[in-house]
Amino acid sequence: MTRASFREGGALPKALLIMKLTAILLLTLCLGASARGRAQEVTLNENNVSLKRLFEEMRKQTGYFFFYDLKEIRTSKPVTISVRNTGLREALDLCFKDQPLTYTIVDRTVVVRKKEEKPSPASPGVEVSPVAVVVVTGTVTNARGEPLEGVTIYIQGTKVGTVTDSKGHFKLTVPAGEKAVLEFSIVGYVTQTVSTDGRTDLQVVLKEGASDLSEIVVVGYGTQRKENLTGAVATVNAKELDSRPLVNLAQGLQGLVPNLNIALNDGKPGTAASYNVRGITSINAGYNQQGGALNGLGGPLIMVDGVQMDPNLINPADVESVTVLKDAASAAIYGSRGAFGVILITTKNARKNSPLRLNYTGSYTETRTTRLPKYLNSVDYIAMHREADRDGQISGGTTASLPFTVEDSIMAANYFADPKDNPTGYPDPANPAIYRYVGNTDWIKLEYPGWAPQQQHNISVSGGSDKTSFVGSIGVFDEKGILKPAHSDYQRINPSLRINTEATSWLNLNLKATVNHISSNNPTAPQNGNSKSYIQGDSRPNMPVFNPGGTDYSGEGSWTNSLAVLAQNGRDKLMANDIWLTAGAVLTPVEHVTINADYTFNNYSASEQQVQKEFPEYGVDHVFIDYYPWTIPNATTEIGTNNNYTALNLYANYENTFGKLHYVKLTAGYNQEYRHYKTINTNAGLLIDPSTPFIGLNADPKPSATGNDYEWAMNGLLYRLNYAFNNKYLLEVDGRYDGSSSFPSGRRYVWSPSASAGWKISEEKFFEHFAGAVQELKVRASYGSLPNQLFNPTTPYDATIYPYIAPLPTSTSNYVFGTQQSIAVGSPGLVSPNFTWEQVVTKDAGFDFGLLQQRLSGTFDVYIRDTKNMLVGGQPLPSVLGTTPPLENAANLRTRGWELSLSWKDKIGKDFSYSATLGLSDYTATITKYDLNPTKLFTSGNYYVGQHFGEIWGFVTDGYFQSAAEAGAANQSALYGGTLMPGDIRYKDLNGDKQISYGSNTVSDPGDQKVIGNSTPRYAFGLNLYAKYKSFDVAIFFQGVAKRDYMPNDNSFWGFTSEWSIPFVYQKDHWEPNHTNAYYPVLRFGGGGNYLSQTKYLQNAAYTRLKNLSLGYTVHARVVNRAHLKSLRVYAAGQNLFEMTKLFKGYDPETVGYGIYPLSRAVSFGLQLGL
Amino acid sequence: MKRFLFYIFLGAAILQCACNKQLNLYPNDELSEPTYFKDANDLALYCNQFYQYLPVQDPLNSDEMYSDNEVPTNRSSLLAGTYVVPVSAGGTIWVGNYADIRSCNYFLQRYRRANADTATLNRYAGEVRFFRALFYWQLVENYGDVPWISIDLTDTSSQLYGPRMPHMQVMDSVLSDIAFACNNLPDLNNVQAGRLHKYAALALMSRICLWEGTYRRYHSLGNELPYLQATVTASEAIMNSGNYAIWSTGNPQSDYYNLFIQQDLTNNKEAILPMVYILNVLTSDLTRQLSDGGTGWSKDLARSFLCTDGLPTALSPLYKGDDSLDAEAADRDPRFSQLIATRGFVLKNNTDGTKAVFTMPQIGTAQAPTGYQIVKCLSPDPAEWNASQDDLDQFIFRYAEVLLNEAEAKAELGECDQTVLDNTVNKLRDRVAMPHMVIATLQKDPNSQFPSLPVLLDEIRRERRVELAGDGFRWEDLMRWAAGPHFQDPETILGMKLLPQVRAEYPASQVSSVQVDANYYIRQYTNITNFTWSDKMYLYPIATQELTLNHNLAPQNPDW
Repeated sequence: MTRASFREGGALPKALLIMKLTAILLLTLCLGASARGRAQEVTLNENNVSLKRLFEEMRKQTGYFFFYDLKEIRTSKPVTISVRNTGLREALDLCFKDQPLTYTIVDRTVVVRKKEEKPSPASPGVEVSPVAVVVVTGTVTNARGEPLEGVTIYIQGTKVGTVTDSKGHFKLTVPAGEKAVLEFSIVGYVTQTVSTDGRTDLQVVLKEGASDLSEIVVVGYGTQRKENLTGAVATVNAKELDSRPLVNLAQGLQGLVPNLNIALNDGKPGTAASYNVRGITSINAGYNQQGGALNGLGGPLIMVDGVQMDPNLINPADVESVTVLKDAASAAIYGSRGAFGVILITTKNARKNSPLRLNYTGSYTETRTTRLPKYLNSVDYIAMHREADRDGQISGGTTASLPFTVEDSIMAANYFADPKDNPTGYPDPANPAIYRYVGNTDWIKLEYPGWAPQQQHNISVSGGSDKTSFVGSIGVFDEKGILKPAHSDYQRINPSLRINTEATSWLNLNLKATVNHISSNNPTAPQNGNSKSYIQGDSRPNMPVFNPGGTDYSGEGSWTNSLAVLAQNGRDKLMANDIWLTAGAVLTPVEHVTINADYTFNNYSASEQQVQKEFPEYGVDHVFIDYYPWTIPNATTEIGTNNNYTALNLYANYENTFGKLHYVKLTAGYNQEYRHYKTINTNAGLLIDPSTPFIGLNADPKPSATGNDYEWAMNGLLYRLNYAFNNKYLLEVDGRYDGSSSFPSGRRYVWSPSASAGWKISEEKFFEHFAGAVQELKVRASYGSLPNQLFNPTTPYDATIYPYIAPLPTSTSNYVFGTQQSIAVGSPGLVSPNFTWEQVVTKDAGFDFGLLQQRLSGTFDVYIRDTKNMLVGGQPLPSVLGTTPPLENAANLRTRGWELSLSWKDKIGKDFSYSATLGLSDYTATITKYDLNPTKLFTSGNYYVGQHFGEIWGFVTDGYFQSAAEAGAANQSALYGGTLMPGDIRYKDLNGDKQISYGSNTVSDPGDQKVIGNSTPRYAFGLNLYAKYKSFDVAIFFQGVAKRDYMPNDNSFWGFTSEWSIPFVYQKDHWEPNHTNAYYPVLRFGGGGNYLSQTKYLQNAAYTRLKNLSLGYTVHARVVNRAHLKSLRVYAAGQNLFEMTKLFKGYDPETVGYGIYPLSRAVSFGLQLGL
Repeated sequence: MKRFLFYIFLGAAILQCACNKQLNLYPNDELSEPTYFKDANDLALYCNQFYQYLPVQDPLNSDEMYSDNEVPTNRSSLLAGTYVVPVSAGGTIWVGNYADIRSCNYFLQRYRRANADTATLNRYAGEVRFFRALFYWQLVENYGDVPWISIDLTDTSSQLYGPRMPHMQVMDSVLSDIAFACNNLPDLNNVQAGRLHKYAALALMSRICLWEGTYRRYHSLGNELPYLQATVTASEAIMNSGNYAIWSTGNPQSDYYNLFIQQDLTNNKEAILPMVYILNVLTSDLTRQLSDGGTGWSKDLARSFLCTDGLPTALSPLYKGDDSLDAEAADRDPRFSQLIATRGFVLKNNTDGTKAVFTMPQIGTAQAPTGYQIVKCLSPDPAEWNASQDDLDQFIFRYAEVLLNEAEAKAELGECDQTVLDNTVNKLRDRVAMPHMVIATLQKDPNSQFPSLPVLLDEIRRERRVELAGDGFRWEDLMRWAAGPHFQDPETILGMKLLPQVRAEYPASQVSSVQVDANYYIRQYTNITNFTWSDKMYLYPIATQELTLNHNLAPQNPDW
């Protein structure tokens, strides 16, 4: 071999060069160290240091690699050396003086060897020793023979390594003559070690990672091998999220982790999802239909790269992995905020020694609504309205204050039959200036006419030398609302940059900078608070959009013309910048020890402008009637938010193995966080020119200014000890000593200890017998007791931030003193003087297994979570108290549940691989202590001992009264004071007292009520199916809930909940004398005792939904390479394509309810491109 | 290694100590108790919270709507017999008023801390006790016996579970509060416009004491004289102050109507305390609501207006019957056409310069379901018709009420002579050019609601009804007079007469659903001919939950 053949060529150095240049352009930080010259001169000034240390130093100064055997180098003596700008060779000679070692230099590599006893013919330092090193080349592919790029190859026991290029090729210099062992690793594949055995050309095939037990899992303040976990921890990797277009991370995670319950809440662009781990957490937390925490009090702690961040704002494409710490033992290191689980999101980091990569992913999506109720036509509506009015007249019930007339019916029928030749309204005989409307409008159809687009684009650049690596990315997401007339737009732009650099051998510096930029543009809600969906319960079908024959919007009177409001009111524009800067350092001062320090600064600033525009309503012949009452006067509200957050993490890890049997890892550290919120809310009316709605342009004599200003802080000491004996018996002890500014001095600090243990049965000798079938089997158990901090720091308000201080509320008087309103100060609420932290105790047991050569693997956990000393408020005290009863530590809650995750992965032949993953979970919750309701009242807002969460009390439906005689004989006067009539619902007399009543609404005297169902979602599941054949891949994802009840109470279900509520087509099927087996009772405004919680109308809210179906095609490497690309995948995906459910047709099973901004069905086309 | 960990922990421990301070955080944007009540300004700002609860007089007040004066399209559930005992007290006056009473008590326990002179301290204590009197009186009106709480309770106070205090005892405490207010609130020249003064307190005293005095008499509780006397004392203190007079410009056909559509009542001598509305400061929605009110005056009210000769319709030769609204309005007390829309009344001055002039009532619509359209407080100014842009002032205490209180109390005491009438009732009659009420010539109305009542009291009550129609007193008047059975009179839910020939003048479609009784009076509620009165309706029931939580509240109010 000639010297030239050793010169490194090809892709890698070029990449490194580009990398370096890019890095220089991009960096402002710590490049000094690595940019310092690569001269072959060294300057050393060391006293009694190890050779190894000197090599490291020389490597840094010259860029030369050093090959040595660890065992051999231990035989070396310490060296004292002092040279300045001396040639490398000269310096080396000094170092090797009197050493049992010698060296040779091959290209830019120093190879250290044992001194041969026999006298060498050549003096030390002779140019080439062909025997000393060899160059090994090779190719790395996957099982299908496709080259793998980016595989890291290290010579075991050294820091020498390289990375494969786009063709899977590598070239590496290894010491000759001995067996060099090379380690090949890349994410998603099983790490493999290959002995060269003297070969110089290697063909390495990496197996795809069938077992993830050897994976490294991010846990709090560190990482751990998955096989060594003893707590209930679940992970999701980027791979599982990558294959589909995600609007936000929540959408991607939904259903992937059993018992990570995610509620999307609604489909409005930009709506935040809520997260929950393992079900009902605390009764003061509030919870929604999906079990997700409503106000966040019982929500999990969500950390992104070690700091608390809103997961709804981050770019899903940046996510590398998500870890869910479910049990107290795993979460204890996060102390008081981890009581209800922790979600750790790790973003993609730079990798050293990796080539420059440019990736683009993008998708275009069209969305439309899932399920919405069906509108009633005007003829049916008017007929039903009049019928309900008549029923009210006959029975002394509620009657219409604005009844329809015979003429209305006739005119509406005419229009319905022949819209061309008939008007949609006629002048009101009582007031000829206004119309009586007889048109026929399907408001929902006009609001949600069809498809709305979304698009997202992500570009990322990454690369790394042996010292510095970086990832830069930018994601852009744009979504238009499916409520078309609202012209809603939501945009998110997420640039981010991460840089790591090895400043010295013992110091690694890193910087992360991220900006989450949000902007949205929506219609301003009118003062009467239209729902987000603008599906108003009082948009009558007989009302046309425009007045007859004109362009004036219709709608005077008491009903809502949403389209008029959407078109004419002002806009609500939000712009937010969420800026995160983290600077960190990792020190390795001595072997086995790393110290991490990072400091994060975050500024969230937002500016929101809400413009309200008054607009007139016109009557007959364009006569001005009035201004629409809920958008006057012309006004602008500006809301400025400026929140600052800082976090400091200091922690150290010590990791070592003693005597081959005792593995120890210790983590200890300190964390402190501080957040300051400030919002200023100003409002000015009387805009000079509403078309230029700048707030300064106003003539308002009394513009208003309000705001909020508060802070919270916490700090804590944390620790974790892992011990493994013989890789079989695992023990983990962790905890935290936590302080919070939310408690008065003296009760601020609290301790959260926990422990867990595991036993890897499959490692036992006696298990070898089964080893053929069972590769992995581990049992685990954990116990932990965590305090619960009482507020959610991301959406705070004073009462939760300073719960022990009762402020005196201030408001503006609704009364004029002199010529102005004045400030009015009210009395403070009550605060219990002795409340303290809630305590959450979790016991967990589980096992992990891998069978049949890891084709089948799974995890199962059962848990009991006791939430003790819950702070409860609103407990019934006599109202003469005059205020809300104070919070007290007076309730306990027990949640029991289990979760199962099963995965099957296999290959058939060379080209076909497939997998199926099932996640299944369940929980129930029961109140175990509640002193404040000894009578066991079960009315809304009360709890009682023994209460099963989500239970629904109601009456038992016993058909309809079919005659006046039947109705007259019944006594249901406690439910409804009016006269019962045929078609009203008869309830079953459960307690046999000959009358239907609520009793005292207590468990012992429920009257004729009983528990008829439970709204807790049971057996939530997610099923992921994946298959790949050659270049094609398909993924199918079902998600659902197997058991759940829901009792509806809105007008889409009941119809006339009042005279003003609009019924839907469903209520056409109501009781009439000639239709006595109808689904709904006789029509009455307000229901007249019929619209109660009861068995007949209890809904089965279980569902299965096809959340995702995606088809992908990966273009073959050959083709791609010809186009100078590295990789290309195209895909089409559908989301929420269909669902199976018996739920009432007007509801979406995920949001359940009326007037909620609908979720969307989406069809996407996407592209993943590597350059 | 060990040393290393030691340093980490040492460093952390030092940080920890430093950071204990980091946790000392307090609200930056709220007032809290330890620093409040420091000076007179703090006291005044605290008192401001109660002013919004001052009862304002208007025709859409629920006490007026659900009385025999009006027939709203949706009747009160109480009178309809559909009212059931509520499970929770939430949303009822029981919860609302006890919350306000707590705020009063909270103040009264702490106001002495303020750095202010005794007169100032007493003045604000007077304001708070004025309001506490009002709140307790409203509770007594609704529930009879109620718990008396005079300190701010905590969740552990035993008083939470105390019994109800008898009606009369509560009212004695109310009287003591109001008397304190009268004695300590400043005189007119010493007070910012809008703030409570001595005469507002006297007006409340006059109102409450008349209510309590007559309640005790007609509900046979006994010991009514001190309250009737107190009514007289308070009323006369106002009358003799010389500060107030009946407002008049000498136009009997419009003065009464115009009094209630004024933009500024602050300098009006009839206003003891006005509710002030100012455009772009604080406005109401009254005009807009009245224009589409869903209610109308009842036949019962329309019948009670005297004819211009001072005689009731049953006796007066001037009465032309009620075959048409025009006939019915002819030669009646001028307040008839200033309360009820009649031909020629200008409903609205349109923005284009035209006028919407009333010809026939819009029966069959929300504007005038009974045919007797309410025009009190209904301004023709189109600017006032805009939603929530009504800046017309309203009355909280009107001098006319004080005069009527005086007359009635005197009559109840048997001390009402012609002088009393001349100083009270006849001053009101002068404004509308009605002949004076002269004791010697009074004749008992054969149609009187109160056949057995002495004619003088009967006529004073009629005068009160007419003058104060739409001011929100009628329901409580009937209750204190124990006149509930009067609700069984069909006329209380009838509208005007709609003879076939009158009906024919309307478009058929508009009136096709309007129903009439055998005598052609409009029937508002088609399934009943009259309300059924039950004496339990004098009081509301207490919510079941309250009775469950505090057994000492038992028994429930009678017959609920």
